[in-house]
Formats: sequence, C-alpha cells, structure tokens
Amino acid sequence: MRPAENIKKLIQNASIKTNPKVNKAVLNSLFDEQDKSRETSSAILQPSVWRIIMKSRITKFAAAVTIIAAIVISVTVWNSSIPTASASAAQVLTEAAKAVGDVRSIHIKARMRTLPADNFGMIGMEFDFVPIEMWKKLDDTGIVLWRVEKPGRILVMDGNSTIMLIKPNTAVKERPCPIGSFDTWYAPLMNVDEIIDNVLKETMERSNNQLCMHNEVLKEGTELVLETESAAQGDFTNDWCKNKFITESDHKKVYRFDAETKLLKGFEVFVHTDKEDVLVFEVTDIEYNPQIDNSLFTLELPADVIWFQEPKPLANNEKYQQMTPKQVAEAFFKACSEENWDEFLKFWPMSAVDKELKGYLGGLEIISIGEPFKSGLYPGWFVPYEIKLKSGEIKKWNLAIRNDNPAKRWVVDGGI
Amino acid sequence: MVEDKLLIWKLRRGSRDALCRIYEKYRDDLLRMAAGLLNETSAAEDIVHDVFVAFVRSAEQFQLTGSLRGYLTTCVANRARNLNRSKSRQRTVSLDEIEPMASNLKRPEQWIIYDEEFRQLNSAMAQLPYEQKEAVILHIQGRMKFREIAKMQETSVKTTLSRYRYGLNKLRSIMNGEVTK
Repeated sequence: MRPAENIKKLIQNASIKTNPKVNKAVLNSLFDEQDKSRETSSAILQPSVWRIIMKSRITKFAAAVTIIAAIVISVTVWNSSIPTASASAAQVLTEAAKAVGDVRSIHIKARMRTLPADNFGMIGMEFDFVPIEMWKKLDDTGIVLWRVEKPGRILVMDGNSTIMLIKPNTAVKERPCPIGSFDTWYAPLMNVDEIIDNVLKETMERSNNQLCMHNEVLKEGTELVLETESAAQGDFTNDWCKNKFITESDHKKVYRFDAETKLLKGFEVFVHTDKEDVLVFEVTDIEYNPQIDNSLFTLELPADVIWFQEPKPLANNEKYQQMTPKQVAEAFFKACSEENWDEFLKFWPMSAVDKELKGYLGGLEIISIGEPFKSGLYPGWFVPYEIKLKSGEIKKWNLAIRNDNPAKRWVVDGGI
Repeated sequence: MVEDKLLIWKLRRGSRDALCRIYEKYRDDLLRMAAGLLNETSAAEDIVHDVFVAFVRSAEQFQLTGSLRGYLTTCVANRARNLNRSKSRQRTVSLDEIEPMASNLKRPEQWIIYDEEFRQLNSAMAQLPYEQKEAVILHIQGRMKFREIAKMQETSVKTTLSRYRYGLNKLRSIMNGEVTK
C-alpha cells in the first residue's frame, strides 16, 4: 500500500526524456520565430499554418533539423590565482582591449535609479529612473574634455578645471580631474579603449569578484559579453549604506561589445537584494565620434553661486578637532537652532549659507541625537537625529560627518 | 531568479543563447506537466511548443513580474484547460471526433519519450477528473500555490485543496490497484 506521501514523491520525481532530434528542431523553429519577430517587432500572435496542415507539427520539425550556432567561449575567471584555462580568456580580453578603434568623441545616454540632485553615484532600489548623459571629446590640442549630467547636477571638465554645479547655485571647483571623479563611477564607460582592461583589472584585484565572458550570436552580429559579479564592500554591521551606492551592493554588471570592433554596445547593472534583482543602471544609447561643440564643456554659473571650500584650520581648531561625532551633531544643530550662521559655517564647508537653507534649518528644535555609527565604505560617521523644523515638520534621519580634510576637523557631508 | 531576468533581458535584445537556455531550462518540466494534464502526447507537445512560440513572439514586450517558471507553467495550464474544454464540447457532439489518446505513442518522431513508470503514472492520472488532476499536477510539479491554482480554476482555495486531496487519494487507490468507485 503506497501512502499519500509516496504518491506525492512519485509525481514529483516522475521525469520524462525528450527526443534530442526534436529538441533541436523545435529550438530552430523558435530561432526562426525570434528572427521574424525582431524583423516585424510585432507581438501579435498569428495562427499556426502548420497546425492546420499537420496533426502534429513536431513531426515536421523533426524532419528539418539544422545545426545551431552555439556559444563560442564561456570561461569563468576567478581572481586570486588565475588557472591556466582562464589565462587564455584573459588573453582573449587583452587582445580585445587592444583592438578598440579610434574614438575621438562619444555621447552616452543612460538611466539610473537615483535622485535627480543627489550624488552622482547614489542609487536607490525604490527610486524611479533618472536620465544621465555623458559626453567626451578629444580637442584639437589633445586635451580630453568631458561632461556628465543628471537633472540636478552638472559636472564639467573644461581642460583647465573640473566644476560641479548642484542646481541651483552650489558649486565645487577642482583641478582638472580624470573621468570618473566626483563619484561618477559610470563615466569611465566613455574611455572605450580602457573598459575591457579595467574590467579585467577589477576582477583580479578583488578576491570575491567574478568575471564571466561569452560570445552571443545575434541576428545583427556577434557580441562579446562580459558579466561581472561583485560583492558589497564595506562594514555593514549597520546596513545604512547597503545598496545606496554600487560598490556597497551585491551586484552584477553586464557589458556588451561588438565582437568585431570591440566597441561598447550596452551596459547594465543589476543589484541583488533579498527580494529580487533590481536593474539600477542601463545605457540606452551610445554615439561614437559625434560632432560636439566645445561650448558643451563650459559651464555658466549663476551670479549668486556658493562655493564649496576645503576646511581650513580655525584659530581654535583643536576644539572642533576633538569633538566626538555626537558632539558635532549637537553643536551643528544648536547653531541652526540659534541661527548662529558663523558657527554653522564651521561645520558647513561652503563660502556662505544659502537663504533657502537658512529658512529651512533656522530655528529648528532638537528632539534627540542618537548614537553614531559607521556603515559601508563611508570614511566618516553617521549620527541619528530627530529635529522639529520651524515649519512644524519632524525630520528623523542620519547626519553624515567626516574629518578627512587637511584641517582634520569635522564637517557635515550630508544627511540634511 | 536573477538568471531568468538576465535571460529575458538578453532575449529582448535578440540573444539566441538566452532563448536556448530558457528553452532547455524549462522544456522538460513543461512537457511533463502538459503530458500529465492532457494525457495525449501530440497535443501536449503542441501546447508546449505554442507556449514557447508565443513567449518568443512577445519577448520584446515581456515584463517579468513573478518567476519565469510560474509564468510558463500558467501558460501551459491555461492552454491545456482550453483544449480540454473544447474536447469536452466535441465529446458531446460525437465520440468519433475525439483525437487519439496517449496510447498512440509509437510515432517515430515523438518529442516526449516515456519510461514505464511515467506511463503508469499518466495512465492513473487519466482516470482523475480534470480539476483534480490539474490541482495535483500544478501544485506538485508546477510548484504553484493553492491560492494561485484556485484563482486559475476560478474557485475558492478550500475547493482547490479538496480537489487536490481527492485527486491524491484517488491516485493512490489506482496506483495500489484498488477498485475505485
């Protein structure tokens, strides 16, 4: 007598085998469908003619087996010690990197789950996609000019300096910086001749990174596809920073290159969360060697611009240096509460306090300041706070503070 | 799950490799379910093929909200039920119009290759009322929740659970060689 559990197992484990010849024939028919639907881009289902003609069209497919173009290479390269088998994959990639043709200008359009005016690198699983645009050009004198833009921020390297404008009127000026600075981790995609090399280097450098490479045969040609898996970096005893930046997330990057020209055709990043995998970044368009006017690499700043200033030592610098993170948060909010903007500026590394910010923070009431904590890769501390703004709004968040500046004193870096 | 999302993303871009991987990953399970539900090999094979064709045709618009396995299982179940209904209607018209059943397994180019155990199980399954068979197969082989099956069967979870239990009991009786009433 078989108990019910055994019957259940019998159903569960019942397996079938399939005819390999028919498997192949059906797959070929699916490839044909794929080609057709890509040509027509129509998803309307058409009645099957074969169904009318034949009782079982499987029989017909079986008679028309063809050989399928298959994957050419599929190799996994692990970081630490590159096994011999993977060395050839590395060689393929190195050769591919050398093969990239001459690109003097590039324009990339992408979209990213971020906030329009927040850090260039900031991501959020729950955020909507925000457009990102990037331009790069080698000018007549051989200088690389570049620009990265999202709705609330513009970053431009005009050959003499790098300026970031946070709309409407906050700006940061630095010496000429390389592409990828100011947390624009995706901007190095514009260095098309370095991408493959960099992917390879990144994989070798980190023990938990994994790289998989294969060729994909598409109707419009073959693509070299690189997929990298990276684990979140940093300390997540407190997971405040988890999945707020790419490096602080478990993620997969997928690069697609034209197999012949080795030029980048597509790029996507998926963040692995507990619930699902979220697409957070996607290149939507790449234009190689477009005409770009030099004016795109200059930035007109508003008359009332407020500049970021590197903190300089104060007369009583020691007092501010020796504060604990909690004391910094208390002192900062106390200055807001008392509308003591001179004191405020000792923690706020800007040339002036914006009128809007004064209106927002001035006269606030401190409800509580919590215990500071560290999270992810952030070099400073996060201090939990709860305040009541003059508007009556209660705000509960984490203040980000850091002291890795030449004056070694604490400044507020974000979280307002 | 990530693999499926990536595969769909690649499929939308026309990747043959992705299509090949999806097909190989789910083909056998879908065929097994269709064969169990329909008890007619050629119809089961056609349904699975139809599901893959429809999936490929709609790939560019396809948005995966749940699991790909769940989606494909539902597609197979829906088509199998529609076919079963149309067969029931045919049966009321003329018994002669019914297509050959699973006993007709000797065609040279059949897709599914049965072993003895599977044949016995399918033969037992064939004796269950369709709703009971559907509840048993979709829950055990399709890994669907009773809530999902109930929604598909347009009935309550309680009814689906009863169908599942009755189905299993009846199957046990048949497999044990007992005479069922």
